[in-house]
Amino acid sequence: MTRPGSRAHVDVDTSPHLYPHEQVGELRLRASQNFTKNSSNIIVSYNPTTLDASALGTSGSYLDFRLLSGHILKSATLHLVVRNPSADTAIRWPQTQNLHFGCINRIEILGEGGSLQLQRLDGEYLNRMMNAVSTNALEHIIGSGNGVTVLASSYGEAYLPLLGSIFEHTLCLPALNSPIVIRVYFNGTAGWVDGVAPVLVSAVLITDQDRLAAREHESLVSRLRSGPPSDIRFNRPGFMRFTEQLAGGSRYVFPLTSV
Amino acid sequence: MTSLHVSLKKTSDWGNGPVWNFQTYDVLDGSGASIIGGTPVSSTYLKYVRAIGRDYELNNASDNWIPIAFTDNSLEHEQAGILSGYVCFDGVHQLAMTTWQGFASGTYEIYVLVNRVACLRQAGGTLSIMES
Repeated sequence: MTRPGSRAHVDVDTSPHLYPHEQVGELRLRASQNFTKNSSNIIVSYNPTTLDASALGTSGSYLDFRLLSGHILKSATLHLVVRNPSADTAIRWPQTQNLHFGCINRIEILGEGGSLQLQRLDGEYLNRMMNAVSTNALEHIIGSGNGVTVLASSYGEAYLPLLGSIFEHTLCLPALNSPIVIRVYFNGTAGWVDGVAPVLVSAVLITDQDRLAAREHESLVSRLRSGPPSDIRFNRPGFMRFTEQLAGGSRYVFPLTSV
Repeated sequence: MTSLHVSLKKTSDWGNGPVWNFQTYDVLDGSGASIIGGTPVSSTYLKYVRAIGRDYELNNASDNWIPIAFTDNSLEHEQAGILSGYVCFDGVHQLAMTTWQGFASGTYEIYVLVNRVACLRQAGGTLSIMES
């Protein structure tokens, strides 16, 4: 152990010595050093590359959102607006059955322009993540005004937050060579309570992003693009789904095979 | 793995969220020994008591997702990538569960979510995934 004043001693709080990669632009950061960002929060919405009005009623159909321009991702929410084509029958969203993502089979988050799967978010996973939403907030998300029931010849909407997604890990879009692709697969009519799907009027991916002040933004992008590799640890969910005949008062043992 | 979540529903109930659960849950290693405490754990304890101890709120909408956590802050791991503990699964582990007395016989779908540690690496402008 060295004592203050010796040549080997470095006071990390006051030392001007930083590693070269930490002296990019105006940013002078050590790996362990906190800093206050000069940033503001901004909401950026992305439209799908194409919009198929019958997508909600077609099993296996999907929408692609391609994210390239932007800032630092912090969260994403899918906003769907639908129209009920029936003149006399209401359509119920799966939210009425506590299946918030019932109409969605899965959401794949792809890197490298679509060739690298970063995360697969099953509808069940997204549904379970709603478990972490407070009861009060949940009531507002699934409550009236947000599309629990789409009245005949009327419109409805739903906000579907992608909780637990890699978007919550501050991915810096301008530092990437190729787009992040968000592919939303639908379940078709089976994903709707009464087996009737509405017409898809619009689909928008709404994201919260951190917009750094220009000079810091430039420095951060430069550092991420030319500095040492940067790692983000995250949850990459897997799953098993199987069907069994069950009876009361019995013990069952299943191998965890796909983990 | 940092945690498992198990859901149970009748196959005829596809349009509903999970509305059933097992009475007890256990995770066994290759020799059949429990790795979560040596005895099957009740769904009530897993759902509520452990949640209270970890200071997070469960809402009723996802009431029947049963969490089996291998680390203190598995929920935070899912949300923010925080990791304080994990278990390595090597293909020999088993999930053991008992049904309630009076549980209606029938065909059920069991869905197991497996929360896994992974690392996203950004080198230059290129992304890659490292997964255990």
